[in-house]
Amino acid sequence: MPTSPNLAHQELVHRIKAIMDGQRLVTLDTLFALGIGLDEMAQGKPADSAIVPLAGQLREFEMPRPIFSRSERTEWAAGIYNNRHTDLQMRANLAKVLKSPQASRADLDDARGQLASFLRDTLVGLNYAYYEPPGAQLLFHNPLFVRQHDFSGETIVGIEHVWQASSVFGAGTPAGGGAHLVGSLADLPYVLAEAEQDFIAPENVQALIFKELVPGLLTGAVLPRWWEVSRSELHAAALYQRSGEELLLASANDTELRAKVISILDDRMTPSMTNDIEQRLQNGHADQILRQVTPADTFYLATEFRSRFSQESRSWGIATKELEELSQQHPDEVNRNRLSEHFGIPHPVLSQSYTRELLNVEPFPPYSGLYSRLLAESWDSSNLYWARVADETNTPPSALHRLVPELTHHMIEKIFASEFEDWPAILRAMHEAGDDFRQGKATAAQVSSAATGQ
Amino acid sequence: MRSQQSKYFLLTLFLGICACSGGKVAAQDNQPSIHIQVNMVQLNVAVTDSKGNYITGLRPQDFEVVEDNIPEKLAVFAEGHESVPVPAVQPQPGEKSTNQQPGVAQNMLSPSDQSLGSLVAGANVFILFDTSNYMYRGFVFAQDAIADFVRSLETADKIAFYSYSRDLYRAAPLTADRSQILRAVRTTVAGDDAALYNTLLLTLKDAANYTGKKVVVVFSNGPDSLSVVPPEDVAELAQSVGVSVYMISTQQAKIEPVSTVVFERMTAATGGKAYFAKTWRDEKTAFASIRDDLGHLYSLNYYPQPNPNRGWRTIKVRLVGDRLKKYQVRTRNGYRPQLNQIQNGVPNSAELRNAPESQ
Repeated sequence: MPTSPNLAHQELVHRIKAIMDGQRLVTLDTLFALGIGLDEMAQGKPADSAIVPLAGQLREFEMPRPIFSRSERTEWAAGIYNNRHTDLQMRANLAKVLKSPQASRADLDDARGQLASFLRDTLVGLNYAYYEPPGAQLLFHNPLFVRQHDFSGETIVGIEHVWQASSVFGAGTPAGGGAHLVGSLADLPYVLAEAEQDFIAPENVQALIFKELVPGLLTGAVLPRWWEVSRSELHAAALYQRSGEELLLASANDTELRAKVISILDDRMTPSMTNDIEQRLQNGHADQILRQVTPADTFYLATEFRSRFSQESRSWGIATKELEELSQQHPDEVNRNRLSEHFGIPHPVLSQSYTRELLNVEPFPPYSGLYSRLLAESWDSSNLYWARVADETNTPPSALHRLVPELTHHMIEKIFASEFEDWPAILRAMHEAGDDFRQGKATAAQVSSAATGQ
Repeated sequence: MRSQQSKYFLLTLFLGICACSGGKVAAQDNQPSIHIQVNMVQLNVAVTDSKGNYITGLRPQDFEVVEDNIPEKLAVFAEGHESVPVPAVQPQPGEKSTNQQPGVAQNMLSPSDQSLGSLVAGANVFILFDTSNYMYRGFVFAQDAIADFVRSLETADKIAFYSYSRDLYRAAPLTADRSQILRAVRTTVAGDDAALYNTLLLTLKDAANYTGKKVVVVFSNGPDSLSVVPPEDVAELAQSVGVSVYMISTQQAKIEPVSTVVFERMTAATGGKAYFAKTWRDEKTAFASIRDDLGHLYSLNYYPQPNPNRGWRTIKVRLVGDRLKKYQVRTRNGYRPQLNQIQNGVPNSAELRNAPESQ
């Protein structure tokens, strides 16, 4: 696990390079060197012998060993298998032009133009790599995945509008050369997660809400970058959650406080949930509640209580007291909006934005179609909880770049829902993943081996 | 929304470029350092006569192994579970050797990691059982056939039992404990769509973590309605990590030509076999045939001679001498060297907690 921002950055770069290798893509350096070399030749300078081997890299790509003949693909995957782009690339021979003393200006221009398709793939590949979901396999094992990205979707029968938000196309068609993405890169993190989600092997055989939930969870784990997060902010995120728990516990024996607590939780919970909590508090079972309320609930409770009842001078416990001290020392770093930006998740459907934030909405049940995404978008507890786990294990903020995707992957493996609105199952899986990490049962390296896709 | 998405795209593009370009072009200095693992290559080889009977008792000198038309020297040889000495052969100079790390493809073993024992010990058998909704009919018969197969394997063999429908379920990890496997077989339930090639890929990656003889036995109804990875990539991975794939399918696959083609060609490319079982008796026969195959495989291991080819390398195994030419040889037909990916150069990740941070 990276222990400094530099190491974390280095690790991210290695991951990106690994995917570029998996996709067998050439580097930007190679492409720019070739472009500059061709420009210089066009100006009458001799070809730099050093760039001829670089041109050879363009021809190193090999198609996967075929299983199907061309006619079989036509019969079984008509309209799906389409590699014209790659076929054209494989015919490109820049080395021949570079070595030719008689290369005309037009030849050089043509050669330079051929670089465009390689540049396209490398840039698309970098975007894919940047949003690599934990546990990804397609990115490493299907070297056509990036090359097959179809921006316009013109070749797809049934698609009426080109350049839409991307979607996964070609799944479940063995002769089709593998699934690929069709459309723009607008919703890329989610669609990549959608394509890769089924490579996560659940620990329990039935995971009912997998399909509705997992891409959203993965997106929330992959999208954030944690370079701007300080130790104090990490600590504040943890303290708010613990302070919320202290409020809940204190409200068991304080009717007035309980009314305030329930009125706040009412914003984020269904009536049946708040009723259940109120009942348990009245009956003195506050300790049972702590494993039932989500980190986003306790975070919201603590922040909202401080806001609504700022005149309240009582301290409900150690965390509340420490939070108060921290807010006096570093008021900006305990700012709820700032923490919301750091530890929130994107809500592309709910708020039509990829901005990270804590929306504080009631949980949505799983719907079909586009609205199936609401389930995950209303679950904004994971990153908050991983921040708390990191703080409590003295893990530096930069390590969140690895810890958050890995623990999210581990959490998803553990989800065991027995009904379609089984929120406790998600919460339980998250706690179990965190507990495994705290107890060293799932060390970073162990979690990593499952999540890296290597 | 569209404006936000455009900005978002540009930002991500910029971030990607910043991460991977080296500023001013300096291709010479920043050549991608691609290392190829050139450790030991292991082949499972079946030799049969025209009637399919196994030919036993062959010696190392009876085999000729050629990789990309380059003759190779055997370093380790075994028949079944018994090793046969061959002259010592060391890795060839000329290609960069790399540090083997856990999780790296183990078909190409570094000398430090391997031992003769692990190479010739019993097979590591991964069973992948189709529990998709295509399997409702005959589910119990299939479980029975698998259970019989598990009981019949040599005691030296280890078995893992996985099932799949939409996702992979690792019901029992690799173990010598037959009762654990049998319990796992009986706990499987059918349901959901089928993603055979996705889950076979994951199974192969698990198998690749082990040394020695490795096979995956797939029991499938055939159709795949959900996989995002194509069978070509799965077959290549099986070949590259040295895992033979055996596939047993029901009659339904035979009438579904896509699956039939994949099953026959994928198994042939990896050195395994495909069976199309019309009845539960056929299923038992197929499993018995696989068990026989495992008991009669030769294990041929070699360090590749220097070879500049970073792409697909073709392997040919031939029998030497006129008396052996009439026999058929079945093994994988090539592999793609594994590029060093994330393992090399990644910072040591052993310690997470209590780490200082300099920001």
